[in-house]
Amino acid sequence: MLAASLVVPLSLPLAGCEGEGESGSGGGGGGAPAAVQPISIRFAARAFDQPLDCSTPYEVLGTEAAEVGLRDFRFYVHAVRLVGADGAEVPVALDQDGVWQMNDVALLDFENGAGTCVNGNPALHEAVTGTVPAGDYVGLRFKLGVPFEVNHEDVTASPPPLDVTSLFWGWGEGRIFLSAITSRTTDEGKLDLFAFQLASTGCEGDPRRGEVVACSSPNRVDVDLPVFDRDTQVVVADLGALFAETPIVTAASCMGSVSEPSCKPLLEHVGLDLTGAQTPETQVFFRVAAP
Amino acid sequence: MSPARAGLFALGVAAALAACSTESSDSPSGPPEREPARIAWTWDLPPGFPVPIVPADNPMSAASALLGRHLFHDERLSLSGTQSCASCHQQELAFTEGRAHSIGSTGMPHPRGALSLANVAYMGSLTWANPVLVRLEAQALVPIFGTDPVELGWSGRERELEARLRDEPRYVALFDAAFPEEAEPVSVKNVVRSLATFQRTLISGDSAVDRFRAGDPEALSEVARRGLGLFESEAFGCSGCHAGFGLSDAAISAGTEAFEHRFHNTGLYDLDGAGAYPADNTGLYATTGRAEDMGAFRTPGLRNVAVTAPYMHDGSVATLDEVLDHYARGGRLVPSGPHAGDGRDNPFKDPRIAGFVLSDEDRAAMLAFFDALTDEAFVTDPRFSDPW
Repeated sequence: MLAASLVVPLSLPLAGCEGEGESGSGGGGGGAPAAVQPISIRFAARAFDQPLDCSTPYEVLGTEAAEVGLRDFRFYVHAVRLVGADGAEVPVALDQDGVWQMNDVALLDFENGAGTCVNGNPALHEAVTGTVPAGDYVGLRFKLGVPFEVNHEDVTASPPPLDVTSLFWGWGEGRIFLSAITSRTTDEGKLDLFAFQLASTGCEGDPRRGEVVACSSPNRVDVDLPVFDRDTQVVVADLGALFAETPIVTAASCMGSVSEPSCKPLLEHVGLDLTGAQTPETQVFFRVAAP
Repeated sequence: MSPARAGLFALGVAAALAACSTESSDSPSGPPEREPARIAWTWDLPPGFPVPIVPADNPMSAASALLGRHLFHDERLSLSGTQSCASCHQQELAFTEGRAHSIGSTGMPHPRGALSLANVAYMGSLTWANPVLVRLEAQALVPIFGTDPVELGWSGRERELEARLRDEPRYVALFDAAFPEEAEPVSVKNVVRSLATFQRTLISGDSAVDRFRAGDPEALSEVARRGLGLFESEAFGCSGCHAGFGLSDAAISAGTEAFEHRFHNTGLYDLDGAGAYPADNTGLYATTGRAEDMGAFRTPGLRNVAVTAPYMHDGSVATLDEVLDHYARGGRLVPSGPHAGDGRDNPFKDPRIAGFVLSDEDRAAMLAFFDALTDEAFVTDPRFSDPW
């Protein structure tokens, strides 16, 4: 059986095609323009109360008495909203900076490629910036992860911040929502890593369409911080709390396999159970604190 | 669902041309602007082979396949400069490696062995047990960027990879020819596109069995013919899963209207009497977490099976003789060691793996049939060989 396929080159980049589903356009669209105010929501990486960086040895991480260094600490958030005193949510229109924030997705990056953060990059991104309608806000909500609509798009053809190959599970064809990796040097002088990487799992593709069609465990986490003052407080991403029940020296890394026993407490601490259901009462990874 | 991807993907021979349609791919107008003249791609397919699915955003072309062939055989594709795709997918072994476990470029062992790439264009899912990997462009990212295990080692270093390729003068010309409409064609995006295109050309359908089925009665010896009969018999049941032109129920083509991912537990292990497989190789279960998916793996196509030892996902079966023993018994008994247990009793075993009586004569016939599945032209085809 012979058949000919007509070849026509396609030259348009994928990035130009994503008109639909854009959100985060902010309040005050139509009618009389509402006053908008620029805002910055600061995040801080910590090991409990200690600042987390790439040059400090930490003894407080994990359940064992061992010194470990940070290797990677990055995560995506989207659907960032401020909550008014009346309980109404207002989406934050993210600054479109061409690097860290696109549409309503932002990448937070706490590794600077130095020290123990091997294979990283120097740039950091520690705050989500954007605009909201002028007003008083008392709380903060966001989702940890990347929206399904763009999560499975080709990493080699996506615009920043969705073009990061080290935050893409090739075998899962989706973004790593949270990458938390520590390293230590063993007594034999070998490098030993522990990684927790959160992403959608149980996904299925349709070969006829060449795309991912569904995931049984989306693993996006709704984070609700009911009391948050962006002027005087930061959102702490606490690696100490995340690893608090994990023997990171001896445990196997948790990278998407639900059969891996090390995953259970890690998922719990971000607010998920093993089925991918949200369990906000077990969420201890994010909290509000003084800068 | 992604509007961009939906608009860029099409089934069938005629590619959907509307690159940025956010609704559907049925806009027939196509870009009317001046297009560089290109030679239309013509599939040269064996008898009975349907047209493979080709993503509309990566049309077939000889220039892209040629670039892909260079990339596939180039050790510069590993960060350390020590490994190429062909290191683990060797043409003379039908693009397998002859090892139970592949070893990455930094020395990390892979829990599974390299699958044959023969007819990979027709696979509805890629690798051993992964329903999410449904196109070769996406699969190529796994060896290039994967960290668990590290294969080629480029995670987070895509710009370095591109710079290295730009340093090779032959690549400048090859990328320009393959992607003439792009100002900066040397990109990771085009690396994976060309690797996918090259792999789609790796079509194997000229074994003695194929020639026999195409109408040449002389192509198969009498004993191999008997083996073919046993293979297709209800008693042996092999062709229940090793079905169709691809000898795999995971095959799909441009004309496939309904497709369902299929993975099977063939009773290789039962570590705990409750169906457990070794922890580093639980098959589909590793990604779904569904108990019934324990030990379920994709059906490999069987062309060239005589040159692709060792067998099964973990290479734990050394010879085709032992493969026959495994299926004749209806599951494998591992008498001792960390994997001890009787796979025949695995509760998640596909019920079609029920065992059969295998006489010495049957065994000889099956082995002759397996030998007759080797496509000598494929494993020696100069179009697939190392061009460097």
